[in-house]
Amino acid sequence: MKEEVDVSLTTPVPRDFDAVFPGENWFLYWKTSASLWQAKIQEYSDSNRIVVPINWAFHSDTGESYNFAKERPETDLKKLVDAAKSVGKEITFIVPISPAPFLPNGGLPSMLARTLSLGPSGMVYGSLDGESQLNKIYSFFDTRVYQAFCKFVGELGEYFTEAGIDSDIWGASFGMIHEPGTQKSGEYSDFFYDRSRVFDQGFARYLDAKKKEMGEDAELSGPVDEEAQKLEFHNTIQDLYLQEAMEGLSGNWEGALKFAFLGSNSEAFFKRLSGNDDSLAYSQQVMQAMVRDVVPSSILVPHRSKKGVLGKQLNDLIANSFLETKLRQDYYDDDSHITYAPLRFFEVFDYNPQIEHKSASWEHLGLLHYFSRNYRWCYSLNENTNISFDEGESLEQKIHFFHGERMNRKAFNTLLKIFMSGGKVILNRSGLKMEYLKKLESFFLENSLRVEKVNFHTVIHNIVLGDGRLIILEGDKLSDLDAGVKLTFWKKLLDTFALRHLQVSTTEGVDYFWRTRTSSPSELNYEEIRRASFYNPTSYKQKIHIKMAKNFALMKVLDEHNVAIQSSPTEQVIEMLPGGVISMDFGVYS
Amino acid sequence: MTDTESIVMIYDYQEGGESKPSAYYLKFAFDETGLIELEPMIDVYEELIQKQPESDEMPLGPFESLNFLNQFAFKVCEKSDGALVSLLSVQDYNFVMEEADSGTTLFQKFVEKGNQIQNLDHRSKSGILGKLFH
Repeated sequence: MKEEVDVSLTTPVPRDFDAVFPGENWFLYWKTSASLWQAKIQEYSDSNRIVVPINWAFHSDTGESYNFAKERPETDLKKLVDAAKSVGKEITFIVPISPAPFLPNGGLPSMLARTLSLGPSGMVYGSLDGESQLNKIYSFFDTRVYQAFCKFVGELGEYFTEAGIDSDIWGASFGMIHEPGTQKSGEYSDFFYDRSRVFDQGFARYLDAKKKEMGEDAELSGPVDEEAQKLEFHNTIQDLYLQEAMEGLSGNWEGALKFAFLGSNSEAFFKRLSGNDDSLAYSQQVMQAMVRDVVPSSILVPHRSKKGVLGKQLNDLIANSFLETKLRQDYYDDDSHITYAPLRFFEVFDYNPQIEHKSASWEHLGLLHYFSRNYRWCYSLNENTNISFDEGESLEQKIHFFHGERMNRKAFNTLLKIFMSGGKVILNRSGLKMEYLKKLESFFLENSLRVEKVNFHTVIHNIVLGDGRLIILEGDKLSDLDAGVKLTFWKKLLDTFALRHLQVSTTEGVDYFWRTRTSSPSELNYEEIRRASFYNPTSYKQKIHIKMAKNFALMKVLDEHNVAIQSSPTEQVIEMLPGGVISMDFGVYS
Repeated sequence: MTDTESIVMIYDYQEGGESKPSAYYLKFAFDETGLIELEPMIDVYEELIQKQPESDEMPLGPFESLNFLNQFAFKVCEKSDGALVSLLSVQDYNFVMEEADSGTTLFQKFVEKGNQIQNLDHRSKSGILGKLFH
């Protein structure tokens, strides 16, 4: 067992290099002289892709006039792109379409930073960057901010066209993953959220406009409805920013992404006031962000806190894997990049947690608890509003979960399309409108489908069509069951899908993440290669048991640090010392 | 609870509804080393209020009056042998944040802005011997 000990006696001094490359291939061009760009980018060896957030306030103080390569060389983005190209690197730009916690005033030009945003508890948002700089978040609901943003993206788009910059641009929403042990533990919230006076004024105007259009139907029926309407208003305005960015930057536009900043939630803010970073919590948030299709970013966290397990995790899972998959949609189609994607058996559509629907929450129905024990992080959680289905998507070994509550036509049609294409679907019918129930019944009749009915804690209907399978259950009847009973329920139900997976048992604190890729020409004995990466961010010795199953073969062990393995045909046992890391590749065959 | 010098607590007043009365809730409690652990605070709450809090997560409450909240804050301070506890309303907190321009002095600003309650029994650990033999 190898163990490396840091014998450094001095406090590490933050390097200028760390400030411009704060994490996951991000480059903050305004933090260094343009004359040093090329040298610094050349020195950066972690990736060939450099992610550059565009700092709105750096190009304009007022939001009125803009400076792109006119007065200061550091505003010359064409020069930046050329500098990167000259050393064989590719720049990808991201344009914030929400407040940015790594920038002063959340990225707003100083003249526009007028109303501080208020979070759900009525408190001003603050975040500390890696140099303990306090960044406050200002409201994007201010109409002056919106007008200035339109001008900014328009000017930026024109500059890109005129300068002949062909680099990709992504719109980025920034947020946080809530701290473990809090009410919203593991959930994502964005910094666009605001309940300040400016938001309230905008919301009042929005409601007035709705009332004029819809009459009494737009009246608020109570606090739950009010919150739902506020969320709708929030989404409408957020979408306006996105649309403006898409139009203004259409020549280079690639799409929109969400980022979650480690160390930016309220609990972390108070811990970090005293210079404490909770690497254990960050480690967990990395995984929680990925299942929500949100890219975790550690750029607020100082480099000294990213040594060890967290740094390894960020490097393995994000900088060289997840981020690249998000920025290059063709990543897995390209044979020259045999790279791993997150292993996902389950696509789960859920509601926005800001509005409570207990029977329409998979968490409340015990599903996520079951996953955490048996298919840890092997799922993706999507908001019900974002339901989509790519017809090229492989449906084998994948199950889609839908709620009936607030089901709309688009979601319903997607559900049927997945089922008819041979996919597996589980529908929680609680709250499903009668019109959709009737449509389902006529669909079964028209296609002469046999509906099997089973009573097991709830009424379950099972319908088969070719490879497709649709299970309909009543979530209402599950929600009040004991946690243990819910676990048994999901185990029995999901075992019927015969998913191929290795069971892992760990002691508390160890986390792991599964990734997958297709086999290369030299690995034709296998259909698929799966990599499990284990991390022990705790200060304790931990043990992991991996139960081998038929159709799986251990191919190789890599990146071992502070670990010892005992292998047998039936089980792999790993002993991990504090800070231990290991990855294992398994070949999957028929 | 670990020993500390100053504790900052941020509270809010929540308007009640049909099912629950208006009350004060503790949103955050932290000292120079980070957040104060919730479990020992729940113990103090149960001892003082003689009932369980509404939830075993933050925010902690309800506190019927500011007087109860002050007593609770003082007891937490006493248990962790803190020198003082400073209670800020969410409005006070927002005021400090609005004025602040640096993260390094923020903690001290929270301490100064709040309603301070001193723990006169606090054993000073400022000297090296105090720190070693405490």
